[in-house]
Amino acid sequence: MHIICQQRDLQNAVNSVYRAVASQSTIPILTGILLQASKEKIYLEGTDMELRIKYGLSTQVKEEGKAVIPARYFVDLVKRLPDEEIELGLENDGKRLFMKYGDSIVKLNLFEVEEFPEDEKEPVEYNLAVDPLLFSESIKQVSIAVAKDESRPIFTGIHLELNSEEKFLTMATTDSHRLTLKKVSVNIQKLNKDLSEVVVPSRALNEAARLMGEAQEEIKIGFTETKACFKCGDVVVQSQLIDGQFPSFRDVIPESYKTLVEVEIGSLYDSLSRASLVSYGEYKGKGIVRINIKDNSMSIFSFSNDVGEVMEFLPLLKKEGEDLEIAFDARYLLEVLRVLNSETARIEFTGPLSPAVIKPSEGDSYLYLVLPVRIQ
Amino acid sequence: MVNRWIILADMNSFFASVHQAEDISLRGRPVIVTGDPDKRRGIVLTASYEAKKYGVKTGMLIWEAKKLVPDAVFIKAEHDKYLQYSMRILKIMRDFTPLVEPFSIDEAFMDVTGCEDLFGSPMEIAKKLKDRIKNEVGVMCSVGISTNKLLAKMAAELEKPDGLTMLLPEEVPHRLWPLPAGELFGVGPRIERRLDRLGIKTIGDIAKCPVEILKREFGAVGAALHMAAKGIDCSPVNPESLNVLKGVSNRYTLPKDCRGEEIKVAVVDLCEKVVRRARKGGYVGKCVGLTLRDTDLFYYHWTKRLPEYTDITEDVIDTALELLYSHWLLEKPVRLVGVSFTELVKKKWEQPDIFGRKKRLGQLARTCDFLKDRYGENSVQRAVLLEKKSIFA
Repeated sequence: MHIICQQRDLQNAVNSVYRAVASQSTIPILTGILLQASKEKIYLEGTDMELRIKYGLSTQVKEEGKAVIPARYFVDLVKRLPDEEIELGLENDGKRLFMKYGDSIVKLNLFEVEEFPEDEKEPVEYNLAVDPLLFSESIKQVSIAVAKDESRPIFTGIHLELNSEEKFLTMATTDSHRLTLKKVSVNIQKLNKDLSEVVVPSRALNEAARLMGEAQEEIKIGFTETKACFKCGDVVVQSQLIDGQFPSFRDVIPESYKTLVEVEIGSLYDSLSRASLVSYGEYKGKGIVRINIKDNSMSIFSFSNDVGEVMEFLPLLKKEGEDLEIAFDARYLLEVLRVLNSETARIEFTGPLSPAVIKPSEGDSYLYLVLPVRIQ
Repeated sequence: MVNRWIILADMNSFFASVHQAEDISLRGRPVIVTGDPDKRRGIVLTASYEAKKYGVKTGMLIWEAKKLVPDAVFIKAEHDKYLQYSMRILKIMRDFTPLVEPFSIDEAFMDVTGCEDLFGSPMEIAKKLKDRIKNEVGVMCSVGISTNKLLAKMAAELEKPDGLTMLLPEEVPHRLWPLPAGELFGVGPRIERRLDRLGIKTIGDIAKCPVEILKREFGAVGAALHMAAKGIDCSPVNPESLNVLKGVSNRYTLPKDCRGEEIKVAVVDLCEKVVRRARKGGYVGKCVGLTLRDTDLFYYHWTKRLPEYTDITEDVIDTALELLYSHWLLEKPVRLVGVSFTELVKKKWEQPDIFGRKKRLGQLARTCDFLKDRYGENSVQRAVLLEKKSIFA
């Protein structure tokens, strides 16, 4: 293998695949990055066996070949190389990589190429295509409700369900306290009915969104029995699916409401963030706030015996139905307000101890459901 | 601080005494309370003084004790009964002062400062207390009197059984300092060994050792030991000490060496008990700890924090078993199992979950708690505790 590429391009490529490399593993080869040179292109690849990222880069290939490079050193070195042309090649019977820049040279010992776990040869059919910006915005909107702890793996994933007739993909997430639902319109190239419902690790989808979100061409999506694959240009993100039954979330979404309000998101966000500083009760770092909806205004109240109290008042843009007193973990409200992408929000309440539904005022593609807290 | 008068009452051979109090025929006879005498490898939990004379000690295997005192009466422990007796004793103590702090099932402190006009001098109060416990409950105790909790405890240790000892701060150098370091409250066998390596043999050596050396060796504990050896202790008698919980824990020495599923069953049982106690006090907790002691008597301890506060038994069981499975080879035998549930805070609010899991399990727990309150701790149990492999079946 012998190639010549720009430091900037190489750094981009290396950083992209490094996200999938196992930081520490009992299998040493997984801490390496596979570099393959063929024809006019090089491909970099990293995997921790759950997530796999491939990145293709057009460059000058003098001689084809491949190598597995220790990722940590490769990333740290490439980052520090001068912004100029870099020459990479193998020496010592393929056991060492050299990188030449200017008059200087770096040499790195390599892993055995044969040990690198190659991608299964099962072909992936990319049947769906989605707009990159819509995709990455949607992932951002649903990721907020992904469980952060690993105790129930199914909740660390994003549930994807294809409605092939109406051509949209439903994304759903829940950590059991709240739930998001997002409809994303997709282009369907070919139907694959068997794989209409899967749970993909949110990490993989977030990586795909990060790497492909600003692309000019559509993101192509395909599934196999065990994997989800995302492809955009020369970048491929693949992930194992999460096994298990995603809870039947549609049953818990209320069909009607008892109280409906519309509020300006900016001022609600500011009020909540002030109120959440003074926590209700003695749970450290938890901002429990009481919300009171009366006539045409909303008040937000929080207090702590040690600290003091906050009382906020907000005008409502719209109100229908009953007055209401309800309490929430303010973080759960703040998180959704950050991703609503709208000036105003519509909140539907079904009672002081029942779920509340938050949506942007316009459109029905996104929904966030959250349970209030029960104050003893 | 004004001069205080603190009394510690320590029941002598408590479990054995309770049985002797209940059954006249056992009085004056060697009584040995054990895990389960039917099981060959059970161990001695408490021996009456009549049995101790023959050299029977807590922790001994039953057959060893049998060899020493062939005609002893062996009784299986009845923890509910001991708790009832303990409550009766605390009630008597509270007749003298509301400042009563239960310290363990068979020991409690009381602060009798200012009670002289009502009940007489501290010595007289201690005598009255001893007599009442003996006459009304039928159990003997050693009582220590001093000006702080530490010295009261040390005083009670000086004379057993049936002791009544006053230890004043000025007597510390000649009464406590000659004693071996291991006799000091807070010094266990491990610390004793480490002290020994520093050439510290007696309580007096600890008191005379520069505090910097103790701090370097033991950290904050070193400074505390130094104070203790000098007989200094300012901690108040806190009747709420058991009510303001930071954590609950429970451990027991198993009636025999346990393996595999048997360990699991013990863990489940202990989780059930600690979470019930937390719930009873209105607490939720966030950290689960598992303690095991192997047959070489080494302790192992691991903890794991939960993603959120809970008072649901199943959450704690899952976490404790996860600790067990990830750290212990199940075929390795275990002598003692302990579970702790910590980072407790009062339950002020609860975040329900969408799919109703917390609601269902919460209801189940409340129902079981209600049944246990009304019909006793064993009225409702997890099925796993009744299975053949259970050590309790």
